[in-house]
Amino acid sequence: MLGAPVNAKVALFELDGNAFALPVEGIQHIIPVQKVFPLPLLRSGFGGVLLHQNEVVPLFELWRIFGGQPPQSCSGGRYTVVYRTGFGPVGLPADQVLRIVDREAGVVEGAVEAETAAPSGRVFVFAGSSYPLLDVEALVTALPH
Amino acid sequence: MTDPGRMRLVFRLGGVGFSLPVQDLIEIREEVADALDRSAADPAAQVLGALSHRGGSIPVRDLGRRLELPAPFPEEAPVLLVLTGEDGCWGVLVDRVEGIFPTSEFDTRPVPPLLVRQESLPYTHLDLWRGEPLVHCEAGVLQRCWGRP
Repeated sequence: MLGAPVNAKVALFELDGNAFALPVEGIQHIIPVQKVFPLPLLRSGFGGVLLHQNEVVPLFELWRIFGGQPPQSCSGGRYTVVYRTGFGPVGLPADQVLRIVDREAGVVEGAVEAETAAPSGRVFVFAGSSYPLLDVEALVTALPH
Repeated sequence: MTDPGRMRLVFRLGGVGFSLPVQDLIEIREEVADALDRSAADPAAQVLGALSHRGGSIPVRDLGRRLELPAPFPEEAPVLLVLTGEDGCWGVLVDRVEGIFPTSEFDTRPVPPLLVRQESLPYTHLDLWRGEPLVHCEAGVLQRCWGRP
C-alpha cells in the first residue's frame, strides 16, 4: 500500500458473508456492537451514531457497499470497528474479525470487475482469497450530501 | 427554587430523543388528539391542524414529518408541547416527555461534520445525556425549519 509504514498490517473482516480488509494503522478500536442511536436527516450512508469513549461516532452503512439488504438490527454486526479518518472517527460494522496479517504476507492488486465490490479499486489477496481493501476516507468522501 | 433558565426538557419523537430549554416551553398538554382542529391542516406546510390556546388558536406543526422520522404507533397518545415563537406560540406533537432536568446533566457537542447534509441540518448540536445523544433544540431554530409564514 503506497505510503504504508514498514511492518504494516491488514485486518480481515467478514460482514453478512462479505469479506473485506482494512489497513490496521487506521483502526482505533474494535469493540463489541454498541447501541446505535438514530438521528434525523442524516447524510445518506450513515445509519445512526454510537457513543464510544464519550465521543459521537457515525456508523457507516457498510451493507450498501456490498449491494446487500439492510441488516435486521441497526448495528448490523457483532462488532464495530472504530476507524480514524481525516473527518473524525467512523464506525464500521463487522460480524467477524477473521485475522490480522502482515501486509507483506499478501498482495495488493487492482480489483477486477467480477470481484466483490472494491470501492478503493484494490483487493488484498491473502492465502488464495481476495479481500476488497476499503479506503474509508474515500468511501465517506464519495457519499452524497 | 430551581432557575428555569438552567433546565432542559427531554422528549421523544419517532424513536429520537430531543432536548429543549425550558424557557422555550409554554405548556405541556396531554390527550389533545380530539382537541386538534384538523380542518386547519395544511399537509404541504406540514401543519397538522390548529388548537385552541388561551383564547386564541395556534398552529400545530408536524415536526416528525419535517424531520422525516417514522410515524408513531397509532395507539400511542401524543403529547403537545406549546412553544414560544417569533410570530406567536405554536405547537408540536411528540411521543413522550421524559421530564425536565438541570443543564448540568447535558454535555453539548457539535454534530460530527461527516453527518451534515449539503442543506444544513435543522440542528447543529447534540446533547449527551445519560449515555445517549439527544438532538439539541431551540424553539426559534425549530420554527425556522418551516420558514417564514
